Amino acid sequence: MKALWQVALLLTITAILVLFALGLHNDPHAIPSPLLNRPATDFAAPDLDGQPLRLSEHRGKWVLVNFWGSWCVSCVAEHPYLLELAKKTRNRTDFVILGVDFKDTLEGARQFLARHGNPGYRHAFDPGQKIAIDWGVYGAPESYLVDPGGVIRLKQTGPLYPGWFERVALPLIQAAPTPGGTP
Amino acid sequence: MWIEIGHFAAIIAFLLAITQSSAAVVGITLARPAWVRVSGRAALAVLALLTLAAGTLVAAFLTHDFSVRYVAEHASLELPVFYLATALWGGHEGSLLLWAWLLALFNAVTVWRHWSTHARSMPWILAILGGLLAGFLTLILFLSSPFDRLNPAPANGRDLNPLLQDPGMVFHPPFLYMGYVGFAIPYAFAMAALITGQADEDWILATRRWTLFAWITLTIGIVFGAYWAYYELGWGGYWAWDPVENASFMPWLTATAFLHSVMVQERRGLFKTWNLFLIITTFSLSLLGTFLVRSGVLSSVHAFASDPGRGVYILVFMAILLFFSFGVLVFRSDLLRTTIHLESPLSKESAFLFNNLLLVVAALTVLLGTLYPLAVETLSDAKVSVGAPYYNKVFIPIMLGILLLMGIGPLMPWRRATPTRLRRDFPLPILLGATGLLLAAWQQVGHPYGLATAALICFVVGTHGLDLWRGVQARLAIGSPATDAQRLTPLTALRQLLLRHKRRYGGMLVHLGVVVMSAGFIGSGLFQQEVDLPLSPGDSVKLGDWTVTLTAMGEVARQNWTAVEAVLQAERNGQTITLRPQKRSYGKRTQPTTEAAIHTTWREDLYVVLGDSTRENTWHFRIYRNPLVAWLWWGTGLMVGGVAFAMLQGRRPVKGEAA
Amino acid sequence: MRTAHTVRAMLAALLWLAIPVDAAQRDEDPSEAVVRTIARELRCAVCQNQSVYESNSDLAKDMLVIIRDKVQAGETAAAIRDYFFQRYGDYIYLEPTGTGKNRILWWAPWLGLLLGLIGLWTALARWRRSPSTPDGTEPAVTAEVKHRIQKELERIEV
Repeated sequence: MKALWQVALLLTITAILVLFALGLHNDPHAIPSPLLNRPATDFAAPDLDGQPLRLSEHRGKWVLVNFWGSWCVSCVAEHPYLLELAKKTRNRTDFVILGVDFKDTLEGARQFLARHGNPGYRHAFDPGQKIAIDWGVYGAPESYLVDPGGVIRLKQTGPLYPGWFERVALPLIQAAPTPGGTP
Repeated sequence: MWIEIGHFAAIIAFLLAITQSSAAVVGITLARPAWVRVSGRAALAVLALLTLAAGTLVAAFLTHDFSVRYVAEHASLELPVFYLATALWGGHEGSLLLWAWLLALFNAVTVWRHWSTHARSMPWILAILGGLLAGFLTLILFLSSPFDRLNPAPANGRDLNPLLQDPGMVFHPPFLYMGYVGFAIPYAFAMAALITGQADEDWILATRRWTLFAWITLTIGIVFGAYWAYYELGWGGYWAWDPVENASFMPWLTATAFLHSVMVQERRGLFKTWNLFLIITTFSLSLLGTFLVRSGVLSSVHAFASDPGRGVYILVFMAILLFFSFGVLVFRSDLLRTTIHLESPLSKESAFLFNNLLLVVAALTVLLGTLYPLAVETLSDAKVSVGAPYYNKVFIPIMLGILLLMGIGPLMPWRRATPTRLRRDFPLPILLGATGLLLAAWQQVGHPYGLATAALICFVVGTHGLDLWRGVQARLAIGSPATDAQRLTPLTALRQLLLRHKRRYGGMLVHLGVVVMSAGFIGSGLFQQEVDLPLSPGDSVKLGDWTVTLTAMGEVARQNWTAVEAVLQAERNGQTITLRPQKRSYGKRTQPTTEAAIHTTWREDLYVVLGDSTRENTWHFRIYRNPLVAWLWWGTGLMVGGVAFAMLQGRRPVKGEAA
Repeated sequence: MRTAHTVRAMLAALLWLAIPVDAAQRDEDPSEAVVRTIARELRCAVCQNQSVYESNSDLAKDMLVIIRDKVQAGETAAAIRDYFFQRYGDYIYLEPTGTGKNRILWWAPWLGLLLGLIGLWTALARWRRSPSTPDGTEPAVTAEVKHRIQKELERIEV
């Protein structure tokens, strides 16, 4: 009986230590998204020039929705890649990038784009972060890839990185046959 | 230059800690007393060197030496002097240095006080404490050095986190660490006892005061943390069941169990293995707290910057400690075998056993709640959170059980409680408890937990009062031993009783403190009232008996902050007070901090928080009525008094002391 | 000293703002209590251990705005909680749900208590049955003598 207790004790200690060891690799701030493979919520908001912008306008194309803010330091690091990606995919008819500038001011957003470069695509203006919350966003930058049917297929928490499009997005895009796409 | 001297001193201290540990082991295994003496001297030298090291860091703060990275990160030219000194423990590196310094201090005190009385155990005690010190100094010197320089030195520092610029936060870390580190001493004695094979009562008697000291400083540290959260964080509460708060609470629970069950070992020689297990667990949980805060494994409002490198080291350190300690316990447990005989399940011994059961289950529950999210996140894709609602539902019933046992304990005799005795002692307290229950119900305390607490508070006061009464009666009956002719007055009898049994009645005072705190918990937990609304100057709102009017908005400035301040008048029964909540901006930091305005009375706190301004000339306010919050702090004061009184009692039981 | 004077001067200057123009006895919006209950059950996703109601972070404040709007639009508490659950998952609830794996959280304490009680009871029964040593005989004396021997040993050793 006593041996049983001793074994149980040592096993419990080992289990807890192993758990911590594994846990060291976790990011305690990351929250897994339950929105994967679910229909994306449409949003309608003015863009940075005041023109109305809707997500559903782009139904039938792959949409990369990128949430950012001029207050976000990692977004500065991500921005060069977005510039490059926008240039690379400008001629594709099956792929479009949309930004959502949340918790920001128009002035701040314009200054950010002026200083770091304007990638050319439109940005929804979401000062109260209503769209962001609607999409389960809790930090910046975060990006979602939405398929032509309006279903969220991918979430990237944190900055997008060089090679992301080729390695992560393209396989998905090519796997699903879409009319009028450039293979 | 001074910092380098401090750094150098720390390195020498590290080498001496290793010396302390190894010389002691060599000395005892090869039977060379000289080596053990060297080990003892090393302990004193380590303290001197670490004091020097810490001193250079404090000096760097006081002279605004921003070429030291740690100073640049946690201080600024505008920081008030008081906080400059305490910024020492504002960050990870400095707080670890504080931990190590306290360990060196207690190490030296142990050598000083117990050298001649515990010669056989001392080498092992030195070895273990030296090992612990070496472990911490390794972490400090190689992974978290506060002695690093910044080149070029900035003109001004980043300033101490505004949330830490508060008196509560000044005292919270030192007291908390005194508790954590304090348990290292009984732990070392326990391990030495196991290793030398002398695991009888001696190690407990030797470390009784250490245990009391560590327990009460841990209590004070935890309460300061709650006090700070209440006054500084501005959400109207004081305990969030945050993982780091839990990490300090778990060792407190097992330490409380330990405090009680050692009494049984002292008196009856029972539960030896269990007591050793409890102290090892308590100290291990103290170290677990260190791990949780610094490794980045769990995030909380408390967490220092996460750094997996440190996390790996602390994990390895903990693994070694845990396997070593519990391993020795398991392998030496055969020498602790005694034939335990308990005469009756109705006895003080078994009351303590049930007390231990509840406290250990409580600690395990908190551990489960804290580790479960980590397990889920690591072993699956999901992420769950275990917050206050869970703990309130699961933990409170267990605490009510402990409260009940706290009431039963004093009147329960050792060995066996006869039915006659139970019939004599318990009816009155039970009656008082029932009265409490009815009173609470009449006062419209609807919640079952509130009713139960009210009843138990009365019950506990009843049993303790009755025990005191019986003690006085007994003393009056015996009469004064000096002269038979002289009759004792009840007051003199009481005085004599208290002075002769400081431990017992100190303990009762602590229980009374717990009761007062329980009232505070229930009052502020169940009966909090709040309103959240926008106000313009001239508007007023009613909350309970209070009428609160916003009279003005203004701006205030001090040495290193500016603030928007609201001036409110609160009126109740003709009495008017002024409250000035603020939203402060500290120059270096962008996020403003809220300073709640709190008016404390014995009955309740009126607590006002200034929010954002959404419209012109309108600000959001949150106004809380928190009943009985002051009782939490007073209850703690009673506990401190009780422990201080108990610690006054010397080692030898006073002649003729009744059980 | 000068700071105090400045402060007083500023406050005096600003006090004219305090002339009640449209002063009134205000009450909290009745829906606020509902908002509070809901907000206390949801976790602020970024500060990571506070409820949405308690937290000062921007995300929590904006979530609170959304909760308020929804309550005033007439949505039920369950619907509002579900709205956040759909977007943030289990994590957003401060109280772990009682389903699936989480059941262990709710059962374990009581199970532990029960096991402990049973264990304690059997141990007590066993200890009562074990042979008792009448008071004041051999074992007690031996322990005391042992103690004395140890004390003498210690005095000799260092």
